[in-house]
Amino acid sequence: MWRKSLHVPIITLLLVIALSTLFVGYWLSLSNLHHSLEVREQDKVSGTHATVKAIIAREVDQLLAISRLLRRNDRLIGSIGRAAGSNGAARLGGVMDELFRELAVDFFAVTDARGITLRAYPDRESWRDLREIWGMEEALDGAEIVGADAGRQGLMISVIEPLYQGNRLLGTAVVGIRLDQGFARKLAAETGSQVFFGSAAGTIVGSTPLAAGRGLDEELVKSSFLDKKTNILFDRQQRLIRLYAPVAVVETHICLVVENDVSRMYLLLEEGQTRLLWASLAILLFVAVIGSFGALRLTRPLRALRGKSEAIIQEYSSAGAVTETGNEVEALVRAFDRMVAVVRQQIAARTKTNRLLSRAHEELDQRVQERTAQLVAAKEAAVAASRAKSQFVANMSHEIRTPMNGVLGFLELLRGEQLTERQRSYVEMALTSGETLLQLINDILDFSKIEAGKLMMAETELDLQRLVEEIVEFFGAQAAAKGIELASSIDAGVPVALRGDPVRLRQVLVNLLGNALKFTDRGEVTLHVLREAEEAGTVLLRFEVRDTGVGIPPEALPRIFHAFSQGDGSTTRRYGGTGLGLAIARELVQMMGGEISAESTPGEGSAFRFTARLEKQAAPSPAAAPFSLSFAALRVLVASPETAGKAVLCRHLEGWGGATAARATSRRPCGSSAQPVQPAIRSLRS
Amino acid sequence: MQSRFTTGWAFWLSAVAAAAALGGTPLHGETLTIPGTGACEPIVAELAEAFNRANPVDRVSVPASTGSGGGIAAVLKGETPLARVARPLKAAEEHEGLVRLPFARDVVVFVVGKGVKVRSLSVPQLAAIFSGKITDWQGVGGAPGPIRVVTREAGDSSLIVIQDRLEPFRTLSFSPQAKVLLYDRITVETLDKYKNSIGFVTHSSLRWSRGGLSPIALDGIAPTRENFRSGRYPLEEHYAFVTRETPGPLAERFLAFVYSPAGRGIIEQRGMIALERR
Repeated sequence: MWRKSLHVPIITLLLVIALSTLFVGYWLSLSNLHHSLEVREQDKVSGTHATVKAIIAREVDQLLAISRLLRRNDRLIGSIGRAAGSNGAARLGGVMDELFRELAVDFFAVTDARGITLRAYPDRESWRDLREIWGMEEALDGAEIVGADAGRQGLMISVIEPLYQGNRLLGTAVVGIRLDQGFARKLAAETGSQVFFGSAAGTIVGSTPLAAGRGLDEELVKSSFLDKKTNILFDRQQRLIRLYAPVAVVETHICLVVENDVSRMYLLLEEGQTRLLWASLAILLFVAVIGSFGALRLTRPLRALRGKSEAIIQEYSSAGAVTETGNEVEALVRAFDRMVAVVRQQIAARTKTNRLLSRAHEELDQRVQERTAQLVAAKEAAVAASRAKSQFVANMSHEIRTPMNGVLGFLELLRGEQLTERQRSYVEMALTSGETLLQLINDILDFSKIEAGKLMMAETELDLQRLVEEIVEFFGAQAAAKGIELASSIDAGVPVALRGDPVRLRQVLVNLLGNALKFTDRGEVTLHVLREAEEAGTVLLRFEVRDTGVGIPPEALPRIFHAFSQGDGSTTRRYGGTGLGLAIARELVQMMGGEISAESTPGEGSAFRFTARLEKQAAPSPAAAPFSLSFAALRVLVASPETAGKAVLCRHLEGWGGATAARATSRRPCGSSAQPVQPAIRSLRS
Repeated sequence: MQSRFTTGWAFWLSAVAAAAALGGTPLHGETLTIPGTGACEPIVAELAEAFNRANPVDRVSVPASTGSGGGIAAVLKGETPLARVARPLKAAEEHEGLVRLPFARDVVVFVVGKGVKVRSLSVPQLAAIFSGKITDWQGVGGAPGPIRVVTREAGDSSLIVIQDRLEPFRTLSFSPQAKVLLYDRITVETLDKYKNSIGFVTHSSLRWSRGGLSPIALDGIAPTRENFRSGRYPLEEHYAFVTRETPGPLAERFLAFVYSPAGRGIIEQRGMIALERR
């Protein structure tokens, strides 16, 4: 995991950046520190060098001051003057002993006017004749000579002072200090540094004892002469800094070497180094930690993304989880590739399915269209066939009716001839059969017309009152023959001046009343007209035909308005009829904007109701009004043995205006018995 | 791959930054320092002074002597573009790509202090004096008095000329009594101070003398101007600038001044022979 993760390169990168930055920083600050510390030490050692030069100059000045004091020392001058005399040398020795003790000099001598040593401290063979030393001739000429000499005795600074008694030159006084070990020790005590004096040959002329054993770099001593350069060197091993510089002591040049201990500097350097190292380590650690967090933050979404890709792969493909090698990005890329492959596969599969589906769809569509076309064709063929059939039937009916009328006409004529009783009965039977046949043909013709869509409703003036009365009159004889009470009534307020097709309305009423009479053996048949609804120009009327006949069984009720259908097969056998009457009636009612319905209780009777929407006449002509006579002032007595007949008659009277009509049973007349009644009609049947 | 690439960038970036931080040379303005030998220090200082007067913006400075070797070392280290020398380049120095541009010809003269009456010495006499074989002026026909020998450190340009031209000096070891001095000026002053002195200095540095120093004829050839020009006097010393192939704009302008009539006039005025630039 760790080896494959992106964390490693990220952290490594950060560490490398940090490391290189730290390295540069470390190097820079360390070299800076080193440099500044070195500069400090160099400045210090240069300062010491300057101090040493100043001290040497001071020593020269002191030497000069001493020699000038000697020039004015009368005891010395006096003892030199008398030195040649008896006891003179001893006296001079006494004075000079005293002076040498007092003067802090390394060398003290007095010469005579020729430059020959009278006495010298310390007393050495080489100093017996001081004519050899530089400047003696000039001093004997009267000049005060300050000189320095790197002779066999080491480096010595000397002042040769001419001594006078009055104007007479007595000789010279020579004082000198040596730049020896003692001087070096003195310098070391004053400056805190170790001091060496090197000659041009590179040998130590004088030095402090401590450093004596360490030796000098002869080449550097020579180099400081030849290049006249100050060389400053650090000795890391001995933790020293050494300055080699040519120094002019009067006119003589020596190499001054100043040595300082720089262990403190190296300690500081090491401490700085340690601190920097720790700081760098801390920063590296910090970078590593921060880098780890950063890497985690970076890789977490990558892993999450990869996880999602894997989830998609698992969802849409059967492939199991794959252990990815490589870092997060590579893993993500590979997972993504696989996901893309799966998704592509899915899309391809779906596209294929979709293509199949759409092809199936198209096929289905086509099949449906074909089937629909077939159905339409079949339906059209069927309709055409039906229409052709209806046409044929209508035509045939019409063609049949013409000869049938001929047959009936001749039978009528035949009935008027002289015939035997048997012949007459045959003719009567033939006539009845013919009329039945003609009726049958007419029904078929009507139905055919309706089916063929050729039946048109006429629209003429229609007198409802007269229409009802005519129908009642038409069936009156038949009802009387069967002993059945037939009554009709129109509700008060029903408009009677209407527009519509009287022939078709009559046909419906005739059919319903004919059926009622046909299926009623006793009792009564009534026709009642009501107003269902009335609007501005039209009125919806309801016609009710009730009978007290055999009734219709409930299971047969739904079928009775269908063509060629009666209550049951036995009905036709018993009562005859084509079975087309109610179907035609229903069609006609519908054409008049109404509906037809029936209810029945077998054994008790039936009720047929239909509605028809008829137009009202704009202004009924007064001539058309059938009754101008007013019954308002009349009193009417209605007497009837039958309840239905009496009620019908009473309703008629009310419609005519007889509001105060009285009723009575057959035994007891209605109305007020106090007033006399004038009989008008004895019977409705007459 | 990408991390290696980035690391590389980081490395180079830090390297460049470090180089910029460490390697940047501080801007000194237009200052030219000409270190080197003390032999021609006075004349170069005078030329620099004249140049500075003519070019107030720029500054040419002539520090105290560090010797020809010191100057050459400074040029080699890149501390300065120009050094003054009084000796030919060593083969090793030529290999370093240094160029020597002689601009003046001086002579080395042996001089004696004011107490010395001797005016002419032969080369063997000189050799005997400097090696300490003759310690009194009586030995060379002068008045009695100790000979105070003043000489120079090894590597001094005048000493090199002498060693080059006067056969006995090549192997000569100086008397232990002789003073070895490091600078031309101090040499002149020391010769002045001690009346029985003898030493050698460049002719041009004699102007530091307070008077009283006398040139010595070498094998009878006096160090006169005529003898300098004719070349009869053998101890001629060439002063030159040492530089790299391209000295830089200010050094180039200073060199142009040195070789100009004005510069040459100054050189001639000081008793030297001005040289053409080659």
